[in-house]
Amino acid sequence: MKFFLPTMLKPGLVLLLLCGLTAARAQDRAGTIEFSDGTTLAGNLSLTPGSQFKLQAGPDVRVFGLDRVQEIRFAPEREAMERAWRFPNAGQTAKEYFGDPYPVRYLKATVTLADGEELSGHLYTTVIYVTTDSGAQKVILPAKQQGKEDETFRALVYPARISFDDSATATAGTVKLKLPGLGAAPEVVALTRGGLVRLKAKPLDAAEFELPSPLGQPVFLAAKSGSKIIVGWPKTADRKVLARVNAALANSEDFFDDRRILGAVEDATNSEIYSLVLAVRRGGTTLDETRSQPWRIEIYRWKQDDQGQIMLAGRNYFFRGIDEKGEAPPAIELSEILWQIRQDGEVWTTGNE
Amino acid sequence: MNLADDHLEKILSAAGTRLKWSTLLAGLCWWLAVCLGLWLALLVGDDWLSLPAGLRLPLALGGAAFSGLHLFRKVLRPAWQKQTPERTALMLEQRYGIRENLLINAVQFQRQHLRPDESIIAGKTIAVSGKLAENVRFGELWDWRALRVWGGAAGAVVLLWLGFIAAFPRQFSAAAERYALPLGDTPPPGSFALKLMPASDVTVLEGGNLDVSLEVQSIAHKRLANPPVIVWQDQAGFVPPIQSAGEGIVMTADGKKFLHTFAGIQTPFAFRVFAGDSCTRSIEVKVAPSPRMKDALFRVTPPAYTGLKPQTLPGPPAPASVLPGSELEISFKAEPPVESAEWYVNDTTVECKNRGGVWEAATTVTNAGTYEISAPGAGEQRLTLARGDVQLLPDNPPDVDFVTDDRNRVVQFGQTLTLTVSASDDFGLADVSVIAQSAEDDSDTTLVKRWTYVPPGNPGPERENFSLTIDPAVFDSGATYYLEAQANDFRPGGEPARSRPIVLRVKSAADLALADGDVLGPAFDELQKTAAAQEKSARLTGNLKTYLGDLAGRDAVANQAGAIEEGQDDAISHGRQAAALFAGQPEGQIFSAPLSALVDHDMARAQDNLRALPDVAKSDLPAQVAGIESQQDEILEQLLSLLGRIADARSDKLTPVAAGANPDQPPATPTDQQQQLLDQMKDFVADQERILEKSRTLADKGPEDLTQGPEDVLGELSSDEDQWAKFLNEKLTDFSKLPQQDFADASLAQELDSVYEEVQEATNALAQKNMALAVPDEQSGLENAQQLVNNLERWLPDTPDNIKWSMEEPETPADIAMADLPKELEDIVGDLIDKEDAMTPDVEDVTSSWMDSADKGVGWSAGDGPISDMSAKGVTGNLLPNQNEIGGRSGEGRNGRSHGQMVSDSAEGKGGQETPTRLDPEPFEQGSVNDSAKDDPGGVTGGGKLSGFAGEGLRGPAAPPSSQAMPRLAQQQAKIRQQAEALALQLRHYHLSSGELETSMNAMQELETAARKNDGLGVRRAFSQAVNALDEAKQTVDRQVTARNEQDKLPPWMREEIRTGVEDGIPTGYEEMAGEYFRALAEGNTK
Repeated sequence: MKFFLPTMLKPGLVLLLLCGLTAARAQDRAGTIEFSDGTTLAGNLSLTPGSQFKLQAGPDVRVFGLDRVQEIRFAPEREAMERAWRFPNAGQTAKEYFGDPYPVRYLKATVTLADGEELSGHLYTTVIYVTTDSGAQKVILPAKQQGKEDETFRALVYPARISFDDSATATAGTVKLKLPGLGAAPEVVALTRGGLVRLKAKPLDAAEFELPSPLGQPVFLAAKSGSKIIVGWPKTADRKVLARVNAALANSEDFFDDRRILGAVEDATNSEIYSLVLAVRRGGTTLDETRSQPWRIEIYRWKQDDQGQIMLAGRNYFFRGIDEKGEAPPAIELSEILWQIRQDGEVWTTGNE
Repeated sequence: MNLADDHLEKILSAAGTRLKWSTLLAGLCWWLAVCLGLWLALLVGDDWLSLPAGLRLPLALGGAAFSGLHLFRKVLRPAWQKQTPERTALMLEQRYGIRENLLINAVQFQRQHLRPDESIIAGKTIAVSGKLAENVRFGELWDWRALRVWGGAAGAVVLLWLGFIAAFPRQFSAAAERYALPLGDTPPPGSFALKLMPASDVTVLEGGNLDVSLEVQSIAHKRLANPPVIVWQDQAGFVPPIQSAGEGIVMTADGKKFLHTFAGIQTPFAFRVFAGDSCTRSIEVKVAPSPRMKDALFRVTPPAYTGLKPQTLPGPPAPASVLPGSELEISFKAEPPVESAEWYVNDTTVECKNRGGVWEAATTVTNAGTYEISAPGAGEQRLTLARGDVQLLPDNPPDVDFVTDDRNRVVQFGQTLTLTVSASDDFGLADVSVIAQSAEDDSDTTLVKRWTYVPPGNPGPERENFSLTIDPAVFDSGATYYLEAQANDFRPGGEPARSRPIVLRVKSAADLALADGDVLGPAFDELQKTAAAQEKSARLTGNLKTYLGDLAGRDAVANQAGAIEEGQDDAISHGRQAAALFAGQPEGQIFSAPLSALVDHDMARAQDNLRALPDVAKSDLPAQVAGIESQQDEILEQLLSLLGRIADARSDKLTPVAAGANPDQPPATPTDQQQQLLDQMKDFVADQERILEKSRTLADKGPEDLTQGPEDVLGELSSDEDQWAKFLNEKLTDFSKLPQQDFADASLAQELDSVYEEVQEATNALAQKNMALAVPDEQSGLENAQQLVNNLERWLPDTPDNIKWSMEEPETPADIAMADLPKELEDIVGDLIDKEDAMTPDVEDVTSSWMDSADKGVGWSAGDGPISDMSAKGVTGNLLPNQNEIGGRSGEGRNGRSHGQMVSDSAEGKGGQETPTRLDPEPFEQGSVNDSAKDDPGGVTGGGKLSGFAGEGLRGPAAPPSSQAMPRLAQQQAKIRQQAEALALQLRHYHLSSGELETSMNAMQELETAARKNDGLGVRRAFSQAVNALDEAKQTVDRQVTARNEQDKLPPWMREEIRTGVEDGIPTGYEEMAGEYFRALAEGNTK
């Protein structure tokens, strides 16, 4: 693909390209899976290409690759012997149980990262492939197990521990952001590339913030101070890319009936386009209050195929508000400084200190 | 040297013995006086004050520690200490003031080996010591003072003890027990001695009774002011000795006893009885679970006539539905085991037999009713283990009918009717028969055909074809008959089932006619006259037979025979004339031969017999006349049959409507065929392009594979899954709004309770305005039910969907619970009240990623909306699905865009929106769906459960038997290619070029090969070729059909001239140019 890059875009694109290379790296690590019945399976562990672990830790979803994991432990969170049941009478709550009891187990996963930080919660069912000398095997990491009638919990074997021979890629528990010049009491939010996981930074002082670890993923940053919103984004964009995104946006109907593309950048390595969208609800809503018109400043992630067609694959928002009918949405300022974030160990700065 | 002096040693030994005993006795007396006194005080104190357990425990422990310590100090240690001579010497030196340790030195010297120089001094010391020892007075060595004081005290205390025990034995034993087990439940002695039954903790059977009795004995001759009160606490193991500790009730006096019965005990409890100032110990009542049935099964052996095999069904308490006469067996285990079991069924009691812990019984079911299985319970009570119903399944009579819509037919002799009978039965057909019955005479029935079915157990439906020839031997001319099919099953005493009849009206000979102008008309008329004459002659023969005796007596047989013969001659004459006329027409010759044979042989023989009749002896007359009558009847039947056959053959055949085809339909013109072919081609290309175009690169992550297939294969194919993801995609799908779903367990449930609800559409529905509901985040919420509890009644809407739902995306993703689903799903389905063309964008909901596990809020009305649901509570309903994405879990519903988990174990196709082939991100799951849907040729998705391989139906391009993505693609492509090959054959048949189509087929073949080799690049290349070639094929066929239309307009001579001109040869080098010229000329195109 041949295209012209505006000079201003290059640093950001370089960042995205590097990230893409990181993400595209083959995730294949030597490790061992220990099962609850004591058996083990050692070999090269990998995920389905393109997939990552997704962990629901409380209200947050954390998405991370295999290379970030030092160890995963599974333990029963809840176990119960259930029986098949039905509502014998339509519209009545009386249940009728039948059949013999069968075991049901809910598993809780605890993921240990390289720095020892532990994340616990519901790991969405994932498949791990274990390649050994005798071939490849598939191991399912379930979130829930259900046995057959008359089976016991012993029969439900689950992977109790997954460990790796090498060390996981270093992942700091938190990242320190040094972002001067964002105004008074700014609120800083990051969205990770790829999964668009929303991370809220905790202010340490006027210009320093502590951000939960994006687990190796680069981030998009935005800050809100009063009514002013600054988003780290290049001020110029490839008009062709913008046109494609605008055309495709018509295929994606949404609650927000007024959506403006403020910018778009292409990640050619991963065949993706990211667009910054100011989404406003102009039409009526069911909210019977003075302030009834929500707005969001969002990032849309688009996938593109070989023919250049794009499809909306993910979205998340930086900030959300709710205005009165007819009230103008907040002005969004695109910041090259916030876009060109520089990573210096565990400290990320805008580089203009 | 040893300086032995036995004297000193003896003195010391005697003195030591006295000193030790003195100490020991004094210590013992001290201990008895102090400790027994202490304990006596404690016992009296408890009797007096009823000390609580909290105080008794430290007092008991303190008293025991004090007593033990001083027993050791005062008694055990002195007794254990050895009274050595040295110790005694020291004690004597102290007591008598002997200085310089003379005695002990002497003792030491006596035990040592001394040198000679030391012996002198030692000897002196020993000698002096001996003298001093001689002065010891043994009586003084006893500590008389201590012995007197403490001995007296000990004696006094012992006397007090003995007095206490003698005077208050009950108080003493109670107090002693209360200190011995301070935390035990020993009631303090009151004024009444209570004897409680049961006296100790008991265990009763669940649901059983417990009888409590109390005997009260007054100690101080006091009367019990109030009756005893029994106090209990549920779910407790102990009742404190406080009357307000639980619920209480006064016991009922019964003679000298007081009684109370705890009835129907379900939960454990404890009780205690209070009477006056006394109470009993707390009694714990445990509840043992009553025996329950386990692994209960029914084994039903249907009656032998059904041919059905024995069937094992869920056992008690489930109802048993059986045919009358079935043998019903039960088997079950009881936990905890029971001693015996009885089965009350059919108004009788069957004793169950124990075989290795499994109780079994059997009976033959003759009538419906209830059954009950019981076992011995507490006492003489019987415990009901299960109770249920025995229902009799009806053995319905068979269904039988003719497969025809024409049930009123006019037939003629010789005509053959082809009829089909269809019969079925719920358990097995025995036979099917077809009977013809005269409309005038019920007894005039003829069995036309019978089919029998053995062995039993053939439920059908059976379709039997048969041909019925209208035979004059069976059917009377001009008569009406009912044709009826009857079917029997094997029910004992069952009446046959009857079909709706077909009414047959047999034309009489007079009614038979040929069309006006038929060349066989004169011959047919002559044949009718033949039949009429033959009938007249036969009728006269009948008269002769009837009145033969009378006529023979009057010698009038010859006259009558002559009249008959006259008629027969007339018949022969007309017959010959008819034969000649038939023979004169080419189309009549086939009828001439049989008629001639009939006239020349059968009629002639009858005539000969008639002529000979006057000469027959009277005795032979009846037989002879009967023979003639038989001959004439047979001739008449053949004549009528021939008439019918001729009339049938000469009449116009009706179009066989029932067959649904008209074989004589004029052939379609080439233009029609071409246009039809073009339309087919367009449809084909459009369909295949749709599938192929929609199967375009998504380039996002592919679905996971949670199936447990051969792991080595699946593992190796792991890298294919992302390639698979590239080939199935629905381009308009907004993947950004797919909610988080985790289908770790591949649930499967049966859909048993499906109700069809007919809804009257509201009359004002047409006037309804479309409405938009845009719901901001503030007004959204989640129930996230962990468990399904509610089951609200619901009904279907009576107005079409006119609401456009649009929800703001949730701010944070939620971890939605996966509540355990029922094994049997309920469903309500109704006719669609939405018109597809009314589903405009104004009412199409907007996809949202809201997901919930809804329980309480699902009911009342079956509506749609943008919220996906994990509780599988949706119903099929009567609304057409919107075009938005919906996830979650559900049974089968209407077709539409969804990407959740199908939890129903079967799919039958419930209609809905046509959904194109697309990729879903959900994983491949365990389990398979029995798919009998036939109305859904598309709809291949990326994951989900397998379907379409259950033998009942084929879903078309459905999921493969494993997640082998590329073979799955190849399989789908093979089906497309087969359709293309069939189309190419048609193209060749009409001499239309199929080159591009064949190129496309080759590309499809390559695609299949590449897909099977997991060659993603090859797949992509072949895919592009196939699509391009298909497009070109469509354009080519379009052009060719246009050309054909133009060609058809040229006169034949011109087309021939052009053709021969091409064949005459073209100068070398000009072939292409000339070809273009002639082609343009022939096609009428100008370039």
